[in-house]
Amino acid sequence: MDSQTERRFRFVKAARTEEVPQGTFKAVRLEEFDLILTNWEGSFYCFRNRCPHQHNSLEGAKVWDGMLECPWHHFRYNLRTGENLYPRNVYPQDEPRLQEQLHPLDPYPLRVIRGEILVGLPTSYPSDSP
Amino acid sequence: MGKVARQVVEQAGINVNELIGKLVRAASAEFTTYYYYTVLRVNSIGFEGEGLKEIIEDARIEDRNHFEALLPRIYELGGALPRDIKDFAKEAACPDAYLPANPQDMKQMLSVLVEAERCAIRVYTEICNLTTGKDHRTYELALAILHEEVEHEAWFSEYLGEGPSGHFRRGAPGASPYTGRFMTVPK
Repeated sequence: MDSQTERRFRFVKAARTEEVPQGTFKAVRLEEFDLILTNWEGSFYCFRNRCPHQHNSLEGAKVWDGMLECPWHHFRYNLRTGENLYPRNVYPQDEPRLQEQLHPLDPYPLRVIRGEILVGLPTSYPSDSP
Repeated sequence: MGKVARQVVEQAGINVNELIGKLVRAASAEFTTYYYYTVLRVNSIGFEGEGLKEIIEDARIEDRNHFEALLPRIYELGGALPRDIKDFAKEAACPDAYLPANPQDMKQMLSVLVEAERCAIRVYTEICNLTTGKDHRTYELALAILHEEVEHEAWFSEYLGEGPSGHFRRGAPGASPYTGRFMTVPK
């Protein structure tokens, strides 16, 4: 984590690692942030608890092969980058309206220290920006 | 609505409203896929396309059959289809199977088809997992549809060169050998 990230985020305890077993999700609310934690093969990830497709909760999502699959419409995302994988791979690129559905997940920085998952919440909000 | 039919499912520990939501989204995916497969089928032209056209036709009609077979169960459990078809289409459990940018590219066409079938397999596996041992009627219905979705995937996968499907196409277009017994309207 670089010093710029350190300045932009404050790290808040979200859960203990044993509360998020391999292949499962845990929804948490930290201050006003609705988040979802997951664990794939020992690596932990945190995202805003909203699918960017239709803004539904990601509770009940599945994780497999390093991907997160939304339970509502089965859109799939790369856990590491948050980018949409399906239906990006089959939607025609000459349809801007469809491309609008393919926004990435909103990831949050995360640290694991002594069995605790700490999530980076922004130190300032967009409305505070100059 | 079937009052006792819903009650016994609730008593078995299933969140019936959640189940109805899954069934409506599955029905929407079948209905929209029927439409999109129609577009894909008419665009499957040329030598290879003619062979593919017959398989798409089987899958297309069977997806419509799945919609018809799901419908009574949604209402029995106290659910309903949205009044507005646009709302219904928006709920589809799987992404729309759009005609690819280049319909002459059979690989692009097959990728759309095989991904749609793979999504459907996940949808019905989830419903089977949710209902097994608890809601026997929905389980049997979802399992019947799952059998056909698995065969559809294998057909398209074979066409993509991923290996033999182990199946031959239907004797009559869209025969629905598994879901047929749930059809309450003539096929």
